[in-house]
Amino acid sequence: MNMQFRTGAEPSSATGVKTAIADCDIHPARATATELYPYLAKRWHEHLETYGKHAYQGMMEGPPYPKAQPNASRRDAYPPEGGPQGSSLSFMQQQHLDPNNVALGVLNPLNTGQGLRNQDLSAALATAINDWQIDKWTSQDSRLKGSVVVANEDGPAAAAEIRKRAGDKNFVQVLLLSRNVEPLGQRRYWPIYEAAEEVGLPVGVHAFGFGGNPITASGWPSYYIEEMVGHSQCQQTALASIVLEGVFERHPKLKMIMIEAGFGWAPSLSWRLDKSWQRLRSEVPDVKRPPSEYIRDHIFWTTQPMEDPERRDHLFELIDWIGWDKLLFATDYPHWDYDEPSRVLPAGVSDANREAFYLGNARKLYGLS
Amino acid sequence: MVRHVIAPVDELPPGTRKFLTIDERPIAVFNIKGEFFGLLNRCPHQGASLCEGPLIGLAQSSDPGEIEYTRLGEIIRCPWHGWEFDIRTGQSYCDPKRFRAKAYPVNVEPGASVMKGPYVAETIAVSVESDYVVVDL
Amino acid sequence: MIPAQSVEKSVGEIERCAKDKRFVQVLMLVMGDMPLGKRAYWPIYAAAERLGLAVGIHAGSNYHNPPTSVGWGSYHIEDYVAQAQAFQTQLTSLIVEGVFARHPKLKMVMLESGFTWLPSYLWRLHKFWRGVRMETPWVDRAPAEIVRSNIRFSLQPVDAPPDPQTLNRLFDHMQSDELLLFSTDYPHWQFDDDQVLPEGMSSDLVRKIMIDNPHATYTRLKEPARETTP
Repeated sequence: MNMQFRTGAEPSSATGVKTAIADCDIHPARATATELYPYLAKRWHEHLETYGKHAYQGMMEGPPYPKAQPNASRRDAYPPEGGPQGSSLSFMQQQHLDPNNVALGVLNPLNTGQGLRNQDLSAALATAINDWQIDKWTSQDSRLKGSVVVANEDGPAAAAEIRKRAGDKNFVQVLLLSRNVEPLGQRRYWPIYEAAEEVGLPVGVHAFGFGGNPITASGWPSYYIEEMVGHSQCQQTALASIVLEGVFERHPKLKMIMIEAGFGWAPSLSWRLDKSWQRLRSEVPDVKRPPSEYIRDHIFWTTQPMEDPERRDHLFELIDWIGWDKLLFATDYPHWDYDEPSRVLPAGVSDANREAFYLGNARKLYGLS
Repeated sequence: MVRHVIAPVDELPPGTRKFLTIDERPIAVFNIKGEFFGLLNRCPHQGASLCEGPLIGLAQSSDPGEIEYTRLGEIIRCPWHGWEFDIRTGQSYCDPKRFRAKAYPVNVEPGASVMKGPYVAETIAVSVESDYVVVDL
Repeated sequence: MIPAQSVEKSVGEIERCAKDKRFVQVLMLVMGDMPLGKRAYWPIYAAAERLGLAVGIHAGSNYHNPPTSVGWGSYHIEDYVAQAQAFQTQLTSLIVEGVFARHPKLKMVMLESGFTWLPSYLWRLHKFWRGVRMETPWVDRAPAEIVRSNIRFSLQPVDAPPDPQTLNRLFDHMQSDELLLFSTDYPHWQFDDDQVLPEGMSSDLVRKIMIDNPHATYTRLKEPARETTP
């Protein structure tokens, strides 16, 4: 018999993952409100302190719907030294990267300058966040890679930031959010895709963002769950726009990743797009191939929040329809809807598919084999 | 079933909880308004440290917009996905048939019937001052 | 049809027309001023339930909001594809606002919504609901159960996969053969005149879709068309 006491709650660590994994959606946070100041010109310090951030939504600080957990994050992910969840590299290593055997972690910073109405501020914050990612994270832990955050509503400024980071091994993708002023296929965003393809970076589209549009096509809903589920619908529409505006026809080398919006909708959206395109293709002559082919050739999906049907054969069929080579494992650490790597994929997957799912696809897509 | 002595009762006042490992199983013992409950500190959903979550009440509704909030402090909410478990039975509220947290019976035993340290309860008459919290495993 | 921008007048029109048993449902658009689950609309649902009418939600928008949740697209094809996403968000609203907790006998029919997105949509909704149940505790059973008891989908147009075998697997993912109601969408351009029924469906399922499910949804179909002969 063996009994040990703990003096208090210790950080919960995973049961331990034996094989190495990629985590394609990690959210690093700032520990303090001024942590970005060293990377921002002084004029912006004063500006932020006087005027704050004006986003394409009503709240200056805080979300439009109250979250399920504080900071929308796991309650056990507060670093012992203080600060919000996700703000400490050492704690992230201790609680997540080390026990979960994360060989590749892709950082997707949120609450940055994206979705802001002041485009100069948006661009300044974007470049600051990118410098911060290098300084605090990717230069300190070689497993971590950053995303090039850009002023999403200012195409030329965003393209300039992408070109500035060309060839920089600290970054593996460009980061956009799914909700913008217009659907992501619209031409105001085309400079972003052009620059990304030119420098050889894929573009990740993460759920969320603010564009001033209600999160449904019939107005603003009441509850947080409607927002959470609604990310799926926003992502579907954003992807439809990208395909139907011919983005992949013009940029055949560009890859995109749908992040944190689920993947279950991919087959039905592909079928719906194909069926409509067969009848209406004369409206969009730049879309020369069936939409499902563009999706098949250019799109990847991160797995979190992992679809969770009662019957695992349904899940496996769904993934068969999408392709086992298209999924990129992600946990969304430290958010509350975190997917535990050792638990989310049911038994019954071949070794080859398992390896692709957890690590191989990500390494190949991001050129890190 | 082996009975394990956790601690003297006054080391676990109402509103507190104690984390420990017995035979490599992580367990937490709670004192809720004088009653004691034990739960395996592993959420049946994805394995989070369930017992680090907040203790809340139970929100129920008989009509949209109306909420009755009862049983304060008797529901534990997982620190990850927020699933609610009844501290008394381990029953989950979202999917009671499929998910249940493992509950351990916890009793308060008078000091006379347990032996202090090495924390295995045996029915040996020992003179002690206080009552002890005992877990059956 | 009702003037959804005035709930009071809508209820009046429902009560007026309900006397004629040839009316089987109330018709609303999937994209209006507000999500359909909002309580401001509930008198419409109460009247429909009370009078034995289903509520049909049809594809289309009054354009008081951008026709997608991410703004205005360029093309008709985008607007058309986006109808499916609009139905998804409306389903969420109807379920989590508690429309069916208050009106358990009400049937709502999603018209020209597609349905092949339904299983994965329900998996996502269920996954989140388990963690945030307490925000809307009047949702006292799994969302998929609510859909199975109160919501139906018209068959056409089917956003079908290229092979019938996959569609049959999708029917299995739906875990219910009571959800679909036969429709053709005639005379719209999406109308599949050469193939009103997808290939490969079992005759049991065909019977359910064409006969049993519509009768269970539109209970008025079994009543005589007129109360008095002219």
